[in-house]
Amino acid sequence: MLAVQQLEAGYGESIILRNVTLTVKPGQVVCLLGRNGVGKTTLMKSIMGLLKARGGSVAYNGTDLTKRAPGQRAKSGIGYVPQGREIFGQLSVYENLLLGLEASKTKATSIPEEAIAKFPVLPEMYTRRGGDLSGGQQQQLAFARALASKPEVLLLDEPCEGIQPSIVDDIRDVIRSIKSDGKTAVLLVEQSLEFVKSIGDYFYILEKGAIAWEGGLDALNDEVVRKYLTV
Amino acid sequence: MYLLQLFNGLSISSILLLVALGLAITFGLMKVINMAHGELIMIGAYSTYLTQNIFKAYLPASMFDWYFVLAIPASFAIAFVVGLILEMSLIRFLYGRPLDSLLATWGVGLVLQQLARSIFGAPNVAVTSPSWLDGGLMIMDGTLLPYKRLFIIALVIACLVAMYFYIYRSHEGRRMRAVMQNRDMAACLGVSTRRVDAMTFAIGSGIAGIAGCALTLMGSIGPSLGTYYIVDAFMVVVLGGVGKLVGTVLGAMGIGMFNTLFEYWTNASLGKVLVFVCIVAFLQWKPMGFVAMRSRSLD
Repeated sequence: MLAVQQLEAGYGESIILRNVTLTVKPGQVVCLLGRNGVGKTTLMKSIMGLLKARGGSVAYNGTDLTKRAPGQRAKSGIGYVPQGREIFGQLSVYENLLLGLEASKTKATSIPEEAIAKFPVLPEMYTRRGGDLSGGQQQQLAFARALASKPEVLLLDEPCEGIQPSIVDDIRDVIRSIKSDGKTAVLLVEQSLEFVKSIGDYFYILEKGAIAWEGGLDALNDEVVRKYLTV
Repeated sequence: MYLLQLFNGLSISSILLLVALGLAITFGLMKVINMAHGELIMIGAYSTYLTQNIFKAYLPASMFDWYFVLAIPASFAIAFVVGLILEMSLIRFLYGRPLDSLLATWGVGLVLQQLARSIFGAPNVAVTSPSWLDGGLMIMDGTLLPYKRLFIIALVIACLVAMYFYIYRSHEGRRMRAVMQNRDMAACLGVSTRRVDAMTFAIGSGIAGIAGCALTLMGSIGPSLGTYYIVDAFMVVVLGGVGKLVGTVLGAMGIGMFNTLFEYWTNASLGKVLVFVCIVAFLQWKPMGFVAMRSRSLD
């Protein structure tokens, strides 16, 4: 279980997140919603360790990760698909995937079947450079790379941003199949309400860097949407 | 006659390349302006000198010729360790601060020079080349290719091949390229960026050590050996294009060949001037050097 307690974080002098508390239980798909600039990506970066927490804690399965480096968090079982995909452009697709194995607990040297089975286009492009792929292909690569280490929690930061509808559907299917496997929990940041409603189990809404609302699918009614999400 | 000039050019290119290879890693990949690179070369040269003295003192004279075979890994290892210490004690605090690292590493260079002066004395010391590198290959009347220069060319090729396999074909090299391209993402995937930085810098330093070892074949060595080569080394890396091995090879070939040809056509000092003019003109035309990284990923 991933537990964030009263987290405070920010860039330089400015504090972005205040008193954020959320939990992701095993096998759950938890969605993080909110308007632009409320701190969703900042929260993801703080959970991953790219931003140092000013206060509060991030813990995974009871182990406090607040002072740990991103690499150690990855090795404890947290996978990350960042906003903008962050593919290594000069490395081949295959090398990108192999780097996904760095955090795996077993000493695997080949990419696990289940990581790429969901993305049949990838093996055809193994020798191409990551930077030469299209945005949608890069997104699939970023997914497969994160799945290669068999993470127990997957952080997905806007996986459908700027991607054609058919691949958005593919990605939805992938998240669904991850959910039905039940081995990996997901923390998903996403703008499309329709998308998150179709797969989410539990929802948090951020406003001005704090959790403004949380609840299950039934509670996420039009009034909540109007109050916190409509621009 | 042209054949000999061509060989001379190739020989100078190979020395330039060997001197610049280490810098292609520390400056080209890691973007550390390492002014102490020359002193790491000097350390490699003195390591060879030490290996020679140990062989002279403790082993029978018949074994002496083989000291050089041991001197190459020894200079790599000693420069590697010095580089590792340098990275862990100083350089790691200076990543992303080019001006500070320029000044700090220059200072380190001066300290290392003085240290060499204190230990080995200010005058140059001579390293006796092994006898199997004396003489040369006679390819036609009046055209003799010295074995020493051929050996340096072979050594450069061996270093290049080893570096290629390390950087592009090994696990460590893959981690290294990932960290240099996108440090944060590599960290998020579980790569230990501190370890990669330290290893990368140390390997760059070790290769500088090998260069120093090779330079002992060209003449006597002294504490300020490195200062003669540091400018050339930076020129090769910048001209070749930062971040690519192929670029460094092209840069060294370009400078070495033109240097020889211009000196042949004019004289030594005018030739050097012409080479500099060409480099300046070329960098006006292509500021990124011969091989610039261009890809969708960098846009």
